[in-house]
Amino acid sequence: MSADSYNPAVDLIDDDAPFDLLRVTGIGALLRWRHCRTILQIPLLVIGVIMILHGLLGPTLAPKNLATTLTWLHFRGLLVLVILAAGNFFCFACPFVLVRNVARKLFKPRWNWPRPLRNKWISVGLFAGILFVYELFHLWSSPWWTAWIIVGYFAAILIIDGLFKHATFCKYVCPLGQFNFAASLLSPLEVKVRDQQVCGGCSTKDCIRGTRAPASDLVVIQRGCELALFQPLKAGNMDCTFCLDCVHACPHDNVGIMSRMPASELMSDPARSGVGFFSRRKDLAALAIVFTFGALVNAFGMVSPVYVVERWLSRLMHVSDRAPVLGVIFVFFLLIEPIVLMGIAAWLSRKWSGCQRPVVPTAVRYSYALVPLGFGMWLAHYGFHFFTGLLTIVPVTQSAVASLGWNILGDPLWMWTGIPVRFVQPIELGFIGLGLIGSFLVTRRLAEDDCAEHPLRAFVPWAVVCLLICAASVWITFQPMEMRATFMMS
Amino acid sequence: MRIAPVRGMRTKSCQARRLLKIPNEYRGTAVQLSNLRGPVVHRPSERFSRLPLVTFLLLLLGACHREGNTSKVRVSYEITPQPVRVGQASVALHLKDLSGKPASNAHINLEADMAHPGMAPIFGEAKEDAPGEYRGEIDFNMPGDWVLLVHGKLSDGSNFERQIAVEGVEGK
Repeated sequence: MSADSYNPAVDLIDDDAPFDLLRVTGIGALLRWRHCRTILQIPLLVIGVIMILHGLLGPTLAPKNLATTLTWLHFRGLLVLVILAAGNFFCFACPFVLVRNVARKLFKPRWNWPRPLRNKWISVGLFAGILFVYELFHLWSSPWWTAWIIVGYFAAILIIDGLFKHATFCKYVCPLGQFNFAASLLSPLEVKVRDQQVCGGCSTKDCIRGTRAPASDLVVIQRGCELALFQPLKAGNMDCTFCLDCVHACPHDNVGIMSRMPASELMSDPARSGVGFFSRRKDLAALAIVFTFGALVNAFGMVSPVYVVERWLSRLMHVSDRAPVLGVIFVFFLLIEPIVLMGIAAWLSRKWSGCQRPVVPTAVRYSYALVPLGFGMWLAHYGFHFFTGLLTIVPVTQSAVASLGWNILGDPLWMWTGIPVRFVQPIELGFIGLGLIGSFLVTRRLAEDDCAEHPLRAFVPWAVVCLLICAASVWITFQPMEMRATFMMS
Repeated sequence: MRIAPVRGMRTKSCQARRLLKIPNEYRGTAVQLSNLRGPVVHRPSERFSRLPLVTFLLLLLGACHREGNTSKVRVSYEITPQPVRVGQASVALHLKDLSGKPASNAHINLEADMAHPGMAPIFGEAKEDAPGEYRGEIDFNMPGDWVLLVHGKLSDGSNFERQIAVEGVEGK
């Protein structure tokens, strides 16, 4: 179907055609508007600045500060829910990129990101590091540190993307972006071409090169994909920030935001533009593992048993400082446990099914199957805080406005919190259950592809790993929450 | 291009002079730079050269910001039982003025907040049961670290506030 012959009315009544968000009346026109991203980034930037100021100058108590309330309750909760319901629209509206775009009008980057660093190892390390720092310094209880993290994020993107071309920060550094990329593997929407035949006849490749000025091929008037995703060969959401630059650049109006089966991209292993084969990317597998097991560690850090473990470890190690104790917990849960579990599962799967693939590539291949479970746990954890603290933004905002001397919103309604825990817990279990089903389906499909004769034998060891993670998630969910900002040594 | 000695331009003009090797005798005066040496290249980065410094100072200001203790009253407290557990806890407050005399007839409200955002605070009131001795109840409804806020109004009408860290409230 060419762009000229395209008729939206026909498309909307065609049951076989996938849903295309860009062809929905109103929303589609808004998203196709060139300045839509900026318009959405501006309010988030304003909110970000308010959070920084309130974090630095406002109340030191986390429940009364906009920086902590918005960051650790509302932003995180909305992020995972939007990714689950639609796609990576938080990267789309990222205010850090807006600041970078403005800065790039003043400073033009000169260098390309070094080739040895063009992978996810740095960002995976930062992701794990942020999880560690979050627990160590109790970031959730400190408006001041929360504000500094936001400032640090602005500084980091300005430095990295001020020096290096393209979306280097987003693709290779940003830990939040990697979280979004991993989670969006489960999203129901994907930016992709509508008709491959149209791309076959395209000679300009604007979706990757950018739209060039008619007078000079060196002048880019609409940039193409900054993350090196060539639309005709792009498969899935990995590395896609939903920036829609490809949509704006395509001269044939051949890129849409299409519906798909969530997690379907994990069931096959095609060559992906800008990414390669999942099964050959150990760094991406590490991201999947940190994403999955990090969900457990992050939630475990908020329940009572973690303090029992910490006290036991501190006695065992004869240390009073929390950092080494927490370091041991993180090394165990993010490194040793995954290696042991996945190593055993890969070895058993290979031995029972007769599959010839070596152990490490098998573990790499199946690590992506754990992402649905990990996302289920992130949803359960962040969803819990979001739903139970949903309305707290109201009194905190009232209080912040009143502290400026403007009592226009009335006295803070501090008793406004959110949905009671007893109603939220079934939702949490639902998220974890959905994650388990997703991981089972992906694992089963991979096992069928690997071993047509004995798919069940290849599947069972990985199913056991999924069940163990699921059981751990459910156990954590039912533990009493205990949030401490101090290390209890006694 | 003229560089006028106006407020906000001094640093920029100093930088420009240094870059263009302008003699010192021109300092503080309007200078026709185009008459000196070479074309003037106005770099956008110079326009924002002080922005990081200003931002840093602003953030430093935030770092220094802490609520001061300007009250006319000294507050000591006891919370029982110890260790504090989930459930009712008794908060005893001892108020003395700066001369050491009991501060009577104060009105005191208690507020307990969790360290994590998203939890409803617990409110209570402390009643005076002896001169300068106040007692109230707080229902700590979950384990973890709490902050007890004491909002008080003295008999002379002045307000005071204290934060008391109640760390490690244990489960039942």
